[in-house]
Amino acid sequence: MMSSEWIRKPLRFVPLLFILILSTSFSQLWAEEANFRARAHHDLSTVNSVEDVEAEIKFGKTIAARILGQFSLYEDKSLHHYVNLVGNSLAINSSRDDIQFHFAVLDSELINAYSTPGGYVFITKAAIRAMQDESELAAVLAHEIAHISQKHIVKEFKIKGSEKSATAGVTRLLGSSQSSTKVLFTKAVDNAVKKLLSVGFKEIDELEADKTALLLLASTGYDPNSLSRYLGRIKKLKTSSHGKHKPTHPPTNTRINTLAHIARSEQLDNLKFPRVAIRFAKYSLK
Amino acid sequence: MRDSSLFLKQLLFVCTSIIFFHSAQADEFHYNNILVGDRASGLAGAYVAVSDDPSGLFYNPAGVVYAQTANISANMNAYTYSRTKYKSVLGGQDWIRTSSALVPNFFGITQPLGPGTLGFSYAVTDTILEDQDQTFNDIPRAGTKYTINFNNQDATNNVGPSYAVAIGNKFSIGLTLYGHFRNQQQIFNQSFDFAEESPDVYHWENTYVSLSEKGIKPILGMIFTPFDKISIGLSIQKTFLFSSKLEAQSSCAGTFLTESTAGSTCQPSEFNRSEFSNEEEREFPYIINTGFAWFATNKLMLTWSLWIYEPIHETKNPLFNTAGAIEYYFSTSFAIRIGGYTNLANTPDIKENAVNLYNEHVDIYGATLSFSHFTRTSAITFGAAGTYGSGKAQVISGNSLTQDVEYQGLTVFLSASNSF
Repeated sequence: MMSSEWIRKPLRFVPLLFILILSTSFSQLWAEEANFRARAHHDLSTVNSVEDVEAEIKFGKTIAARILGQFSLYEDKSLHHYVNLVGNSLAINSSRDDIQFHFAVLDSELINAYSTPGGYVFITKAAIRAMQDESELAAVLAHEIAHISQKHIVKEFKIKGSEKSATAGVTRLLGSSQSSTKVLFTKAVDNAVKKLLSVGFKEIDELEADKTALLLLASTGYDPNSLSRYLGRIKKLKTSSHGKHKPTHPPTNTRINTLAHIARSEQLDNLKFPRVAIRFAKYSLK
Repeated sequence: MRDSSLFLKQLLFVCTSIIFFHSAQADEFHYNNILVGDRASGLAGAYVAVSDDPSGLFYNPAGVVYAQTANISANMNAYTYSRTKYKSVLGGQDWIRTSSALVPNFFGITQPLGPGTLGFSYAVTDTILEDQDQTFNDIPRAGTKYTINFNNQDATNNVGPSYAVAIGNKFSIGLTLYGHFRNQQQIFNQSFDFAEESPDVYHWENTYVSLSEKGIKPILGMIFTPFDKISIGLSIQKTFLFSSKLEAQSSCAGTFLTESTAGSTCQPSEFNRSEFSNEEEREFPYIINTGFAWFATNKLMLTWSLWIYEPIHETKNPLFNTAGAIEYYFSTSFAIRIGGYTNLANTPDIKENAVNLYNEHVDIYGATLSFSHFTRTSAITFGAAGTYGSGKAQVISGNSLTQDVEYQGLTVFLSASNSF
């Protein structure tokens, strides 16, 4: 028989230790986390490669297919062409010249827009119907382009390409579980679709997308205030007719106030860039 | 003839005791027999406060929540070699036992799930593969020949899931629930022949031993970060067996024996066969593993661990093992790890001039060295662990003679990990 007394005595203090540790932990719950555990080689993972872009496009294309499984495309070729022209004129000024952007209109009465990694942007016909000019269309598309250019989904789901280096080849040879990649890929797609359609981006990502969109509008030559204007209008519309839907964005007032602050700090608030209302009217939806 | 008779009796004692000696050897007398995981092996197992990759599932599951990438898998293959020399066992000659095996030492995978991190791992915590063919000549006189053919396969595997959650940013807790599986198969064939005797005197004996253990090994771990760059780890584990089955078959024949030797059922001039089985479940100790790590910079990390084992094998005091290691990055692509550790015997000291119940006490000390090469999503690690130990043994059971023992071991490992 083993003598267990030696362990029982110190174990009496374990609950006390737990309480002490937990109380300390909860007091620090909202403190900023110091990532001192990251080692030097983790810096390598921040470098983008061709394989990463390929993985992003594949990931985004799969999510886009899922979205199109839930929504029909709006059958108006001229409108699609117009939206693509506006979207690509913005995309040229984005930081993502390594991907091809695609824009499409969804036949949905929900006022919303979605973007997936790899350059796939969707906007609903209800969202377009709520717009008054081309600058507002550009504002929404710019916001979605910003999610892509800032890689919000890519970063959150840590999408990376398979390496083709010799080291990576050896790791595969040693059987370090590349086969599980497919399972994880499917799971990541599921989670990303859920995030886009139900949960929404993190508030910090939304606000960053707004800021990037503002700069993108200005650099492309659209009225930078169009995003705030549009947000203010759809706030009223969503409150009256779509109040039951779970919001996927931060409070509109927060966004508008933040946009105003950014516009002032970037000296964009007094720019008199065109809204392009007449051209937009040719494609406006009833 | 009389002298020969005494010697034969002694020799049979040796042979019989060797069988039991083998049955109880290796993992049962030491705890840190194999280091698990690539980074952890390079750090000499001082990993309880680090544990932020799949091998953390084995050392301290709480650490995997701090993994720097979401999904990681790791795989390690190790070649282990050991050489144990028992000095002056047979007629003043040394008895040397060697074991070598190439084993998939560890596989583990982690991925975020819900509020925490889910993991699954497989670890070979001990393995022996002895395949010996040794002949002792001229003991104690010219022409005497004693031959051993010995094969011993003994492996202990742990496999199971883990889950860990962070509570705040200073504390994490995790649980690994391993299934414990040990399988041993041993075939021992021995014969001796007194060539100069007339009529011919010989003895032959064959023994087969099979041992199977099944159980569970929960590992509860926690990691606490009291200060910036300092991590403190603690884990508690114990193996609970729910089945154990030992079966032995022994056959022997000889022409010389005039009486049955203790522990032997062999009778002269006839073929003898016997069977033995035992389902007694051995008890494992509680093991507490604690330590700290200092992440000085993103290139330098120092770590230290202490293991405390509940006393077993009729020892009165807990056993302590310790390990310490340094990790240094020459660049973002290359890292070196150097460590040292102890693997002390869990048996009482061998007493001179007395019959000892546990017939070996060898304290082992090890040093580790590994190099890793990193790319963005992959890492390859090559390393080695060298061990040396010395102590006492009492190979001849029921006899108060003791022998000096010298142990040397080497493990070379190659591992790969992927994040995706």
